[in-house]
Amino acid sequence: MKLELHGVSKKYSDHNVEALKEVNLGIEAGDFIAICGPSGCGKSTLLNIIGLIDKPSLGTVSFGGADINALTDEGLTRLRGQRVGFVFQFFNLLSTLTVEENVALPLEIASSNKGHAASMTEGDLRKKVMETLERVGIAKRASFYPSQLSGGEMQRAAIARAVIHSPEILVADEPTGNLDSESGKVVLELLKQLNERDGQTIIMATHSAEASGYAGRVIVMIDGKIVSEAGSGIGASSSENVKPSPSADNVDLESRDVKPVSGDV
Amino acid sequence: MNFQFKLFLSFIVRDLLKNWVRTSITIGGIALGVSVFLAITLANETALKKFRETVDTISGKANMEIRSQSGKYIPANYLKELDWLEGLGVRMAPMIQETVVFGSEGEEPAQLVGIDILADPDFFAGGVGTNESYDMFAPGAALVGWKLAETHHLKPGSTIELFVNDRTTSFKVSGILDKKGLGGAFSGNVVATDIENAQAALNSEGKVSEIELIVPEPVFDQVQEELRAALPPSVIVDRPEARGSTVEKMTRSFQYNLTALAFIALIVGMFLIYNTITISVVRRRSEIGTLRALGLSRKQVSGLFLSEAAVFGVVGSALGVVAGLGFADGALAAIAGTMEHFYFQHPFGSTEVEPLTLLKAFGVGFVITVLAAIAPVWESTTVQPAEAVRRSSYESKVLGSAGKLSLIGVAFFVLGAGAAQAPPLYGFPFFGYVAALFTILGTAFCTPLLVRVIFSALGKSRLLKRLFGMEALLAARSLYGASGRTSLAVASLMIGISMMISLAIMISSFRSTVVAWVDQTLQADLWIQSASRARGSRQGRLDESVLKRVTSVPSVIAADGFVEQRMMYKGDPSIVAGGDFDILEKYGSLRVTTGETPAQVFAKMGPNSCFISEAFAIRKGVNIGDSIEIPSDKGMIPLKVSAIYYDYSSDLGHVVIDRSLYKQFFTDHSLTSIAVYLKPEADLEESRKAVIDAVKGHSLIAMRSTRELRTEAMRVFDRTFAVTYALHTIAVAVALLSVMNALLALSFESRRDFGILRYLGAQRIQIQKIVYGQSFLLGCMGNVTGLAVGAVLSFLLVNVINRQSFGWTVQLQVPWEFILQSTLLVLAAALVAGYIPARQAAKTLAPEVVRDE
Repeated sequence: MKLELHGVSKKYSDHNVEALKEVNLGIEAGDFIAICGPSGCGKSTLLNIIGLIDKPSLGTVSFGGADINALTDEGLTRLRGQRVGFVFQFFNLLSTLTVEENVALPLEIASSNKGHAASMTEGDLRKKVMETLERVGIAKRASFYPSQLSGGEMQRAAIARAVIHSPEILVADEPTGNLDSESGKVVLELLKQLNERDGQTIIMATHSAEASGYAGRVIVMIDGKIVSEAGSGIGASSSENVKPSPSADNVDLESRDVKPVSGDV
Repeated sequence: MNFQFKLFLSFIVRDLLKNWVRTSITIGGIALGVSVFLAITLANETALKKFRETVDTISGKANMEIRSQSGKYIPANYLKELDWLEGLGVRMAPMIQETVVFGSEGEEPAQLVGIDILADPDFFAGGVGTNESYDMFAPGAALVGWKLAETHHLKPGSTIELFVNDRTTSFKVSGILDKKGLGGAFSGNVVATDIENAQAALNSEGKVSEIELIVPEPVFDQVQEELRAALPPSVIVDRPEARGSTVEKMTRSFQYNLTALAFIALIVGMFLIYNTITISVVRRRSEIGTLRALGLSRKQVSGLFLSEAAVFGVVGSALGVVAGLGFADGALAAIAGTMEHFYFQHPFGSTEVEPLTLLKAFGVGFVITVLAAIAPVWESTTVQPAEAVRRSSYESKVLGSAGKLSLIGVAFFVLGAGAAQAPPLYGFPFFGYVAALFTILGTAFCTPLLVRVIFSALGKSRLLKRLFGMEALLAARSLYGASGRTSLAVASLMIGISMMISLAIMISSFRSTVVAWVDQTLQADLWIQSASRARGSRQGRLDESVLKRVTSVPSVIAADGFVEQRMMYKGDPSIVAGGDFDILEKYGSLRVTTGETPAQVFAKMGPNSCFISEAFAIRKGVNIGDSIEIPSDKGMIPLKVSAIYYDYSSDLGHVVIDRSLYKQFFTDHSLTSIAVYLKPEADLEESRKAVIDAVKGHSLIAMRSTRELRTEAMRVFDRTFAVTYALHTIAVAVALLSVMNALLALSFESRRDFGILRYLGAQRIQIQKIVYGQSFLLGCMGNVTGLAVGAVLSFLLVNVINRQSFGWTVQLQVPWEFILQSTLLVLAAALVAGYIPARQAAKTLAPEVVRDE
């Protein structure tokens, strides 16, 4: 899998705002990328395009060779359902479903989507859900409703839901933004584990320096542009090789191997 | 600008405009309810008002009248006997009147009024109302009302033909009456002539309908007392306006029941308003919290939402008043046929609008809106400053109190059951309606628990998922999650459907009972009535000689002359009827409440025995074996009740006596109808011709076979209930608006969930399926609860309300086919109601929806 963005711009006509300006980005299988930047810098817009929620106004996005611009809403939705998983800041579990049912949703949606052959038996589905919950460590909470879980548990359930269908990309939007530091750490460890052990590609938007430390690549955005990219995560970081972009003064980055970005990454 | 007003504009009005679909639905619901209420009220009021106007016009300045309690006429010689009244300053004038059929060109009922043109002009308010010179004394001269003249292009010199009883009479138009005075009576459909001309036309020489009196007020009571003492008890001495009260009494049950039906749409509308204001409050809890944190008091917050309700009340009621004015003529036309057939005959024309009635309808709409808003407005004041809690707190509140609400519901059921046992209040089934209302309220209060239990079970149902997919399961779960909203939608739909079902059961039961009754009762082969009656005059009679002529026809084995006459029984309008008991015993059929055969009943009959109809028995509290007295031309007739028979031809109640007894006590021996029994071998068509030949040149008659009469009876029945159908259809329409409203709110509040599902790969069609699933489940739940409540309401309608109102026993008959059709229709309508919300929901893929908490 390779996701490539070439000269991607996104303009919201109703607000006359250019949220992304000629962004170029290549994502390889197994990448763990953190996207950092101040509020309004275009992180979310970029995540939406990577997550196949939105299409660019200009430029091309290629997902495993498929041109996103050429897809209909239905095709885009199907691709998203099969190949992308989402983790949100506010967990976004459906309150009326149990953890088990929430986690099963992507597979249920896919199987009830006509034309999809991946229908599973009830037994297989349950087995798969329980395995996934085991992976995130909350199998005992399977029959609980979201309101009965702690924040950390809710996010782990959300991660289980995001990976149950083995997506090629996991998009995480501020996954620790609504958690205490302890729970946040557990979630980040879990993401790291998924990346390292299972080779899960993860694209994570974050404000947190600690969170970005878990990523292999750290991209800094300002005013709709990628202004720099740091090469590696916690293990590789040192204060000397951080090269902040001149306009990235307000970006909360600690020690990082950062290089300015001008063209393809 | 006042701050509160500024806030009202920005916080309430702007939001109402933004959510214009929901705003329109709510306003539409109120407007529909108000319009139906106004249309029915105007129609009812106009009918009575026109009758009263005619009484006023006819009686002019007369403040007293003498008329019969139990016959068409009184002897004209009372005038001479009462000449001593002149000493007290009393002036008198005789009058004779009867509904005839104008038959020169087209046929329509008109009132033939015979007046004493030489009488004091004060008897004709505003004069007779024409400036043209005319000759009233010429034989056959008549003045015609403006309306009649206008419709049939009559002018002085025109000849008109009237069907009067079983004859036709010609008059020569000598003048046209304008709208003032006598010409305004009967909405201008009047033919006025000299009293002697009229008496001749009516074959009633020496008789008058009434004697009008102008009595000086100081001696009014004295004169009334002396007249009552001097005249037989069968004569009424009263103010002319008492006739209006009599008509009002007569039509009260019919009119009250119509108004009660019209109220249903308003009650369903209350749920719609409650729903909308609740949604408005719940949706903006965080904003209310912020406003409270900024210093807004509870009172100011409640004022805002109360003003929102007021906007709905004012706009909805105003639109309702406008629409109601549009519907009023239709409503009047719909009830006119029933009024004329069962109660009194009058050309109703178009509705007359009283500003006070408009104000009343507007007020009712406004007050109901504000009342419905009280609970959610109160809810708005419970929001704490800076509270960011969203609807979940409201829903948990509803879920938490579901048990308590059910207990209140059960209390309503118990009270309702008690109310159903209570007797009528002043002849009106007040407690029956209370029982129906409590049944509805009881179910509405139990709905949250029902919703919780049923949707919880459905949400866990593997079967539902297997049958209808994951979308159905999610639909059930989301309805469970929004139990508060779901309960409101289900309750609204339940009311609409229960009314529809119960009325359908009542009408079907009524219809099948009437069909069975007609089949059993109509045993004769041919039915004869006068030409004028057949053409629309309810007063048209046959001369007694027709009976003899018909009996002489060889193929006729028996002919039963039947007469019906309005009477006052203990101050209430009723009917006395005379029939040939011998023929009835031999050939007729009589279904009595004790289940005895006619032979058994007749075996027990004495010389002064009578039958009374069930309506008479129930409404006047009379039983078998009781002694009653009814008024007649020759004083009171003492009677003993031998049997109570089933009769659905009138709710006024009949007392039936043998015609020989009738003839002894009543001077007018004309007949309302004749039931002709043919020999078994007789040919129907030949016999019909033979009967016509027998009366040819003597009487103008109309003849119908039993089959034709049965068809006519059912046509009258269906016409009577047409307005009922229209009213409950409107109630269901309002209920469906309520469902649409609830679905819109649900889909708005489920935006986050739908957004998440779209993120997880759900297609637009899947989201739409969920919304349609919600509509379908709401429709199903509404149908199930509606059917259950409808069954209870139909029992109350048939056995309590209808019985107390009209005094009729009706056998329950369930119209399964209709119920199946309406159930499917409601489901289809619920799915249609889901169309807009489904389209809105499918568009939901806004990232901010899932990011916002």
